[in-house]
Amino acid sequence: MNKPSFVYVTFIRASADKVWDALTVPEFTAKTWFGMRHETDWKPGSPWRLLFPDG
Amino acid sequence: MNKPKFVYVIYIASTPEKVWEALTSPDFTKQYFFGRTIEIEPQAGGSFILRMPDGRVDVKGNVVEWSPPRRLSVTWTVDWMPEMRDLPECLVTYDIAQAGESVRLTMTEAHQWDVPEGLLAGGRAGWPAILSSLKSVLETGKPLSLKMEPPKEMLEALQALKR
Repeated sequence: MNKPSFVYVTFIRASADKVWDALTVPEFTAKTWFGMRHETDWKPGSPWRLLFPDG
Repeated sequence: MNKPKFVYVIYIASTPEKVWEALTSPDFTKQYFFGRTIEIEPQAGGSFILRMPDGRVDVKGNVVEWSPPRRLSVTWTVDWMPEMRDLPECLVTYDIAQAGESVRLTMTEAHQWDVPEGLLAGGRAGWPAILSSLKSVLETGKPLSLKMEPPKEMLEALQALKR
């Protein structure tokens, strides 16, 4: 990989576990990803797709 | 001024007027800006100070643009560290824009000299914390509880300038 070309830092009043859930649990991610849905089992090497709300 | 060396964008569930108030009123800044209170004359050319809780001046400068509730621009000299006092001032600009039912706040730090990377570390570490806390204050009424020291790279860069 090349070096990162975009880095964003934010501070959140929450626990690390809560932030992890917000990044990976579908009920959370749909809210932050404009209603889109992640399709993956989050295992290393697994495929990952981001689906529009209409599928 | 040269092109911006640091740009930070954050979305806040608030109104442009509220964000403007949070940026310019001491009751707000002391909550999210590491206890600093702002003293600012509300016009271009006016004076601008950020004062530490113990009364020392942290940052001083002048208002370059005062356009509520859209754009605030101030010159910025860190005053509390003697090594930084004599450096060329930088320009800090806040742009406030409506974004749907939220507000997009963009903070830009521009420098007029070839500022060493290490010196930028202070802003790169501090701005995300300050502006995240501003967001928390406006959205929840409570700032973030954070602890932060000046980054090592910045202190080293200051030492190198003295040599």
